[in-house]
Order: sequence, then structure tokens, then C-alpha cells
Amino acid sequence: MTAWTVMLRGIRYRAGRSFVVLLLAVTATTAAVLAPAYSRAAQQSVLTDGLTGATGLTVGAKGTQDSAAFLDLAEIRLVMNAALDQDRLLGDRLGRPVAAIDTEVTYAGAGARLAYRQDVCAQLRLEGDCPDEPGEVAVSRRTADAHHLRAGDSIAVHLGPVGAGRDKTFKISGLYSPKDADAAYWGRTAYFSAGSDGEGERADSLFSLTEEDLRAEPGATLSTRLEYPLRAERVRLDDVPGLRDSLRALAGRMRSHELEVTTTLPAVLQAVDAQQGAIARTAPVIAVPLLLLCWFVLFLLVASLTEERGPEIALAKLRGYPAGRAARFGLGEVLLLTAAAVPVGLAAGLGLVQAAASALLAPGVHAELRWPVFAAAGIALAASVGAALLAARATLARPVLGLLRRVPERRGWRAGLAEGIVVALAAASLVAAAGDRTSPLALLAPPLLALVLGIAAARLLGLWSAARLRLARRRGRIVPLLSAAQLSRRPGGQRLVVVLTVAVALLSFAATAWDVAARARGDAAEDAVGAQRVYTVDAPHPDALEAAVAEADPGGHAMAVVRASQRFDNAPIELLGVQSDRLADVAVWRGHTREQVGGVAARLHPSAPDPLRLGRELGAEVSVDALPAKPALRLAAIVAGPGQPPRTVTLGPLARGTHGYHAALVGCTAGCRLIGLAVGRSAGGSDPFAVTVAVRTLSSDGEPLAPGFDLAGRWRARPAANGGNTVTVRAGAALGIDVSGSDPADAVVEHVDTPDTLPAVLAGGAPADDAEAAAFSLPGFSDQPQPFTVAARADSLPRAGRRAVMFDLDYATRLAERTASLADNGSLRYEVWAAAGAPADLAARLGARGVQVLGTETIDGFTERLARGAPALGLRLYLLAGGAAILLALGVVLLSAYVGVRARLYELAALRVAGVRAGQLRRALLREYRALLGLPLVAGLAAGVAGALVMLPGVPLVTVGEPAGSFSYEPGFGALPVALGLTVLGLLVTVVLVLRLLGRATPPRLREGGQ
Amino acid sequence: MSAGLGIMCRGLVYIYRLEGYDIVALSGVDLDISAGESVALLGPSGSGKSTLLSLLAGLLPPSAGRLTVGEHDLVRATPAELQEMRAADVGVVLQGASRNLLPYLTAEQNVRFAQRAVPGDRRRGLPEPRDVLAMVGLTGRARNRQRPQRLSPGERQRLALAVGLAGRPGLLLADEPTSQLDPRARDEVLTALDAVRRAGTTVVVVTHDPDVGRRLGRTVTIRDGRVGAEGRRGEDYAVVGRDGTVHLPQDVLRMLPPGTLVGVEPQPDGTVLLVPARVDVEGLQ
Repeated sequence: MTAWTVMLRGIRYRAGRSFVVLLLAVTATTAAVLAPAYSRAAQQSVLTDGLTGATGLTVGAKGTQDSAAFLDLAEIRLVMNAALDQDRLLGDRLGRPVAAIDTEVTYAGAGARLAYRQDVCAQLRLEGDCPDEPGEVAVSRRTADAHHLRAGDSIAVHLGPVGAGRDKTFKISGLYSPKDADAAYWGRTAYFSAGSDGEGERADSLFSLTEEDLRAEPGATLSTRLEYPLRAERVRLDDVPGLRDSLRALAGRMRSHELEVTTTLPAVLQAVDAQQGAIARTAPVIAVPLLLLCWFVLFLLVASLTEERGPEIALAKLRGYPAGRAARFGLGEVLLLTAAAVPVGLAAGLGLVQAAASALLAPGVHAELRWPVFAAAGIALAASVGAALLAARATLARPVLGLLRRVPERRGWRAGLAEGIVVALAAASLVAAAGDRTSPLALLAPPLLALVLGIAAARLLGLWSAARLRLARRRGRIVPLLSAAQLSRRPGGQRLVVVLTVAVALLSFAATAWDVAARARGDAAEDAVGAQRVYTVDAPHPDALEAAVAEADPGGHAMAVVRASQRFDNAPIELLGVQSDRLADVAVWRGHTREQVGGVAARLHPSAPDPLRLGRELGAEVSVDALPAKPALRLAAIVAGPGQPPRTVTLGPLARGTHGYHAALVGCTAGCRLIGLAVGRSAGGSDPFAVTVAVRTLSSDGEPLAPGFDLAGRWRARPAANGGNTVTVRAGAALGIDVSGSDPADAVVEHVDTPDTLPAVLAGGAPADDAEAAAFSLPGFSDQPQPFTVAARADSLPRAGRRAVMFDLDYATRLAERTASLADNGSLRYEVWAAAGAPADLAARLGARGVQVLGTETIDGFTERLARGAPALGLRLYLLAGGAAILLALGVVLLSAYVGVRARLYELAALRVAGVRAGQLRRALLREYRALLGLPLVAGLAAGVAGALVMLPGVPLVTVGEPAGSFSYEPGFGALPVALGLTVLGLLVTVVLVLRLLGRATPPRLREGGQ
Repeated sequence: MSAGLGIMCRGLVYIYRLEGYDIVALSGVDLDISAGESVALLGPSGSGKSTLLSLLAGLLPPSAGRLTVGEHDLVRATPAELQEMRAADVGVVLQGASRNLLPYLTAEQNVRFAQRAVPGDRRRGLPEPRDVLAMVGLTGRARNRQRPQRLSPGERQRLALAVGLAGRPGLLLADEPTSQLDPRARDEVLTALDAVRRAGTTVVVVTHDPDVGRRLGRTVTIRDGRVGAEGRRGEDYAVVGRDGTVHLPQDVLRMLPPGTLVGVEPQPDGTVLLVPARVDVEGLQ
């Protein structure tokens, strides 16, 4: 028989207790392993998520014949292959490259891209053949329809710059439509952008599979490149430093071949770094309290078990075992179980992380078996052994007779000192939290607060049960007496209360934090996205976007939005032009009901006359009573096509009397708008003049317009920049215009089809000296200062944030187009916001109308993305830690029942013999456990929720680096009730097990003795 | 079995020091036990006999006096030396058989567990557990592979004796080995103890049972922390202490209550006559 035999037989003899010890030790190891394993997985998830949206890298050149852009793709490929052969890390993480060349061409009066793209035909639905042969191209079905082209036709394509270069004739081999215009295959190049831009009509790209056809014109500017997709799923955390070095080295190497490496990977990796840093900071904050709890539990566990094994240890000493061997005999079972728990805990921790990774983290992320995990398990084992030695020290040092007597240890001064230290630490952490919630000491405030509350609850339970005991004695009530007696003299009861309070507090804190964060993520997603779906689109100008949206979604569930950014006082201000008539139906504006949004929208769009729409011709009947001899004057109209700059169209020289004036409006097929009428000199000069003009009617394409000459204020003189001529406008049956002065510029009278100032909803202070100003000026969609009036104020605007201005898109466009071309404004950003009722194929519909969708965001998708961000991943670790803490606590409850169960059964059996009924004993036990578990449950819940409310403003909930106090911190009702319910269920199951255990207290047990 | 060990107590004192007050458990015990002798320590509860046993086992350090067990001076011995003494020379059987046994080991394994404490060089010469068990009358392979709770109370007690004898000690100390046993089981235990004695081991047993004392041959009655009387082969004797004090038996005490003046008159035949003083003596009762 060896010492192992004795240990194993002892473990088997105490199977129930041994199992609980193993469970607790496994939980402790699992908890220790969780922090590094989960942190690693979460960091990998953040990396994978961050890289999934990244575009990999592009190697190539752009230029004319004398540049590397005219190299064969094969040569570039050779250079790259050589580089990647030497750098296996980078080579393995990059996918198969797509070779591409494109150049700007003109055909059929439209600008377009002539493009070579490797294996393009696999990505196209072709009517006809793939353009494999030299001189062949594939044309988009849409462009072909617009220009009446068919497969087999020939088209002349102008290669090179306008005014230079040369024409080349291509045969259309087939008509294509892309299978998926948004597929990753197409990279970041906009191949399908038919429509009109500020420079004229554009057509979809022409595809050729003959490189030489694109290099036919030496003066053409070619973009030649290999586009390498990134295999995000293959990039592991350990690769990141190497990847950074590789990218730098590759850029240097390619530069020597005049090739440029373009990649967003370094920027993406930098952003990922910040999130990973947040996770790395979060993990210890969560792990430390959990590990301390584990060690405390283990300490209690070993202390109890060693105490219980006191008589056995006494036997060893009595037989003459040396002190060391007696200690090994006394601690062997626990240490063996603790050691056996390491691989199990390791597997359990990794399994848990693997399950979390599969369910919650980015695809391809899994638990990694790395040295920090083993180190954590090793540290847990070492700490467990240390805790065991410390816990058993007092018992092992006792003499034989002391061990045999089993007199309960009195509460020592050390316990009081420890409690004092805990209270002082908790106070210090709360003071620290009041100053800076992010300091390490402040982050320990919740667990310390829970510990203090646990100690207080334990003391309270002791006092309360002693008082109940006295009362029950006086009244002679057996059930309260038994339960109070047990509670007041039970040695481990107070420690059990502390452990359970801390565990419940950890879980409550985690659940509350999760609920608050979940709500905050939802709020943040609504704020950031602004509508159920938001498409970032490429549109020629606001009018075109509005028209496309109206056609694509006749039901009014989508809205065109145009955005711009301005700066005031060195701070950015976001401008948001919305279709106010659709705003209420489409926008998701947190804190606002649909009716409230409708009310705000109505204020953004006060009534104003409709614009005067013109066709191909404009006519005016004008009376002039008197004309100066000099200078010769003319009547002109200022018109603007959608997106186009306003232009002056001469209606004719002014002549005395009533005459009709006419002008053809070239380029107004899409409908121009009459901005105003102008009276000026026919041939320049600065001779003073005075004239009175009466405009009686206006007509377009023979149809009379409704100019509202009789309405005061409908027409007004445009203020001239430098004083200008004196212009007076008179309303009446005819519009009277009196002009006098010597300004060479035209006197302009504008048709007022907008409010004088643009009503706006303002978030943040007004961009003026006085932040509370009711009016301010800011460049709107054009460079000219746009006067705004504050129609409403809000804390934040949907999708635009806390410093933004929202206004009516239609009015803003009309105002801007009086002076500028919005199609030329490259700073405008176009979006389509869609409500849930919008067509599911809205993107395709928009694409069919020339509005290419560049990106899509949804509130759900955004929320999901936030849920995989560093703060959410950190909070998940909180939840896991809280769950582990509860499991530990349940184990301790069970163990406290198992330890000393024989003596307890003996007592209960004696009570049965003394005449106490089984039902009374059961009720007394229930009453005892109700107090023993109920009080810490309530105290822990209070400590957890209070700790969360105190600390959450200092904890990033949604994004790393978010400003403190960004969200509402009201506790939600999602995870907390579930966690609480599961905890209560676990406690009930535990109590049932305890009742079953102690239900064996029958009188025959007395024969077996109390030992 | 090793040769028995003699015991020598001189003026042995032990004081329990409790919070606030001391209790003198032994107040000068003079006792000699020869090697190979069997002695029963008798006395009322609280007289100090179990304390004396603990002192003999080295479980308590004497407060004063001299105490040697074989070659071991228990007053000067360190804890390690006491532990070695218990491992090699002194077997102890606690009151209550179960307290001496590990419940999850079989009878043989319990004996072997005790033998593992014996230093390596001596362990090689130890008898096999079955032989130790056989000495206390526990034979039968199947029974010796049973756990203690499967054994009868008498068998369990004999197993406890076997465990105490596992290291082949020169002195066996047993506290109430026959309590709570029926007569048959008690006889079995006494037979086992007799076998131990016959094997040369000194046996000291604490008991309340005078019959047990008689079976062992010599009884020592501890009274008020001292040796009050001794019995040899059924005859009881008062013991004259080193200071000349004599503990009178109870029946004599009834005749001569404390405070009685007694004349001590040696007789020519070597006896001593105790003559109570007459009550009419002046100044006396």
C-alpha cells in the first residue's frame, strides 16, 4: 500500500466532497484560464473583424507610356511573386491577385472607363461573347440600351485625353450586366457609374481582355495594378508585427521598380490596436476579483476539509508520522484533486472560450492553446497550493490531542484585521472612483464594495439569528429555534454569506453592465446609422438622387440625404440635407416619436412657391415704356439645369413697347429652373441708365407659367456684391422692375421659391459668436454663406452626431443652385435612407437608375458590429466571470453542507429521537437556508447594481475612447433578470440537494456515532 | 515483538492551563512499571488516569517531575523525539475503536498505515499485517480485507489494538479498550491484551472496569491526581508516597473521615495499626 492508495481511497470515501472540491478547483482553473484565453480570442476577433472590411493591397502604377503603368501585368506579377516568395508571411495572408488595367475613354459622347480585369467574364452575365479577342469589348446592357447598341456593332472609342490621343474602333462582343456590382471582386473601382456627373454624361465601363488594346494610345493615362485581396481569416495576432514590417519592406522594394503599394492595412491595424489595448486592459480588471474569489473559496474549502480531517491527521501524528509526512497525508487529497483539476479546468476554460468564439466572435476565431493559458493554469495551481498550505497551516500545526478534541476555533484578531483592511480598501477605491473612474483602484471598487457588503451581511445574519434564537427560546417555537441556533453557531455560515454576496454582486454587476451597454449599443447604432438601412451612394447631384429615390421607392419609405462637412471655430459641423416630407417615415431619431419628427420636419419646410420649371424654350411678354438712348439694354433669364451651374440666357434686346421675348434653352431636356430675370447692358460699359420694365407673362414651351407677379415678395432684387444698380420690384398684374445706375453687371430679379433663410434643426451650439443665437450663417451646399434660422434644437441628430445642422434638402439645393453647380461639388456625400417598408431590392433599383450603391449600413448590422467591439467583448468576459463566480458560490454552499455532514446528521437524528418531527426539521432547514442564501442574494444584487451604476460612466460601453457619460445608465431588464433567475434556480437546486443529503438523518444513524 | 519498556514516574505533575484558571490533573505521581508488565490504571472519572496515559504517550508534556519510558526521557524529549518514540516504541490506542482507524482502509491497510510511520531500518523487520492481526485474534483473509465498519465492535476494538501494535512497540497504551463492549467481546479484547503481554510488551490500560484490572494482574488506582492504591493479583494495597502519605481506601475513609486523628502504631509482627484518637481527648474532637 502506498501513499497514493491511501489518498485515492480517501478521495473515494469522501466522493461527494471530493467531487465538489474537484468542481471548485476546476472552476478556479477555468476562471484563471478564461482571462488570457478569452482576451486572446477577443483580440483576434477584433482583428479579424477589422481586417474583413479591409481591401488588402494594390501594387501598380498610374501614368502614361513613360511610366511603369505601361508594364506588362506579367512583369508586375513576376516582381511581386519574387517579393512574396521571400516573404512567406505576407504571401500566405494575401489571396490570389486580380490583375486590372483601366483608362478613361470617351465613346458615344459619354465618358467611361475602358477596363481590363482578369477573369471578368465570370463576374458578368453576358449576352453574346466574352471579349477575348483583340479589338473586342463588352458593353453594359444599360449603356447599350441608352445608345442603341447591340452585340456585333462597332463603336469608336477615343483613347487618351480629349483633344489629343486617338480613336480606336472596337467590336462589341457582348452586352453585360454585373452579377453582383458590390462583390469584393470589383475592388474599390467604380466600374458601373452610368449617369451624368458634373462634367457630363458617363457610361458604364467597357471591358476588354486584351491588355494591348488599353495600351494602344501612349498618351493615355493607365492605371495598371494587381489587386491582392486579404485573407483576413488567416491573419493571426502574432502576424501583426511581421505584417507591418512586410508592408514597409514591400513598399520599399516596389518603389525600386517604380511601382506603388496602396493599402489601408496599416491604418486598419492601428485602429485594431486601440481596441485590442482596451481588451487587454479590461481582462485583468475582471480576472483579479474572480481569481481572488477563487482563492478565497479554495482557502475556505481547504481550511474546512483539513479541519474535518483533523482526527485522521491526529492518527498519523499519533502513529509517529513526521510533521512533513503528516502534512502530506492531511493535504494530499486536496492537492491531488487540485492538480487533477488543472487539465480539466484548462480544457473547460478553452472549451468555454471556444463556445463563446463560435457563438459570439468573428468567424474563424477559436480558443488558442498558448503559453499564457498554461501560465495562468500554472499560476492558478501555485496559488491554489499556496492557499491550501495557508489554510491548512493552523490545523496541521495543532497537537494530536488538539486535533482529536475538534474544538471550534475562536474568531481571531486576524479576521478582524482583514475585515478592517477590506473596508479601508473599499473606501479608498470609492474615493478614487469619485476622482477618476478609470484608475486601477477605482476599477476594483465594485468587488470591494461587494466584499464589504458581504461582511456586513454576515455580521448582520449573526446578530439577527442570535436575536431570533433568544426570541424562539422564550416562545418555545421549535422550528425558528432550530434554524436560529444553527445559524448563530454555524462556523462557516458567515464566510458562506461573504462568498455568495461577492459572487452575486459580480454577476449582478456584469449583467447590469451588459444591459446598460446593450441599450447603449442600440442607441449608438440608431444615432450612427439614422435609419433602418442607409445606402452610401454615388449620385451626380442632389436632384438626380431625389429623382432616383422617388422612382425606386414610390411608396415614400426611402429618403435622399445629402451631407457635407463644414468647420466653425476649428470644430467640424456636419450638414444634413433631408427630404423633410419623408423624414418622419424614414429616420430613426432616438428620443423622438414619429409625430415629433413630423413636427420638426414641418418646421424645416415652411411653405414656399414651387420653382418655375422650364422646358426647351422660355418666352416673356414685356412692356417697356421708355428706353435710354444709350446704353443698349437686354432682357435675360437666369436658368439652371439640375446640378448645373446657373447660366444667363438672353431673351433679347429691350425694345420700347410690349413685345414678346424668346430664348431656346439648350440642355434643358431634363428640366431647368428659372432662377430669375436680368436686365443689363447688351454690350457692356458703365454709362448710367434708368429703365422700367413690366413683365406681363412668362411661358415655357408655349405653356404659361405661374410666376405670381401679383404676389408681393414673390420676386425680389438680388443684392449686388458692390452696391450695383438700384433695383425696385413692384408686384402687380405685371412685374414692375425699375433699374437705374451705372453698374456694368446685370440687375437680377429672383423668383423667390425658398424661404429667405433656411430653417434648420441645430445640435450643439450655433456656429456663431453666440452659441444660443437663433440665426447664423454657414456655407451650405455651396461655398456661399447660407443664412439659417434655428427652427428647433436637439441633443444630437440622426447619423450626424452632436454638432450638426439638419435642413430641408430641396430648399437647400434650390438656394445653393442659385449660385453654384452642385454636380461640381465633390465634397457632397450622397446617401439614401430607407425605412423597414422600403423595397428590399432598393439598392438594385437605385443602381438601375444610375445611382451606384457604394456601401450599406443597417442598424442591426451596426449593432452587431458594436457587439463585437472591444467594450462588448470585455463585458462578455464580465458575464463569464460572474457566471464562474456563481458556480463557485454554489459549490461552496454544497461543500459547506458536505463538510461535517456526519455530525450534522447525528444531531438531526438525535433531535428526531428527542421527538422533533421530520417535517419540523425540514422546515427548520429550509428556514436556515432561506436566511443563509437569501440575505447574500439581496445584498449581492444591491452591491452589483450599485457598483455598476457608480462605475459604468467610467467604463467604455460601446466604443473605445468614447467620452464619459455618453449614454443613459438606467439598469435594463435583459441579462439581469435572466442572471438573477438562473442564480435563484441554482440556489434552489443546491438547497434541494442539501435537503436530500440531510434527509438521511434517521434514528438508526445514532448507532453509528457522531464521528 | 520488541522487548517491553519500563516506565518510571517520579513526582509527575500535569496542570491544564485554561483561560483564567489552572487545573491540576496530576499532582505528583510516583509509579514504576516494569518491562513486560501489564497494568490497569483505575480511578474515578477526572482522576487523571487518561492524562497520565497521554503523558506516557508523549502527547502532553509534564509540568513537573520525571518521566521515562524505556530509554526515553519524556521531560527533555523534543517533539520530534516524541514522534520517533511513538513510531518505534510506544503504541497508543485511543478510547473508541473507530477513532484509531481510517474508515476507508481495510483492516490490513490500517495496520500497514501505522507501520509506515516506523523508520525505514526498523520497518523491514516488522511482521506482516496479517500476523499482527492474528496476534489479536483477527484471522481470516476475507475479514482482514474488510473495512472497519464491516467488523463487529469487538473485532473493531481488537483491530484498534492491532494498529497500536503495528510498529511492534515495547509499550502499549490503551484507553478504555473494553468500554461499550459486551462481555464476550470484552473477553476477546482481554485475551488479545494477554497475548500482547505474553509476547513481552508492556501494557498499560486505562479502565473503569475492576475486572479488567484483575485480569491484567496489576492495578494502579489514580485518585486526585496521585497513585492512590495498587492491586496485585486481586489484592488491593495502599501506596505509601515518597512523602509518607497514604491514600486510604474508600471503606476505610468512611471509618476514618478526613480530619480524623489517627495513631500509627507499628506492631512487632511488622504490621502497622491505625488507632483513631478518642473523642474525649482534650482539645480534640
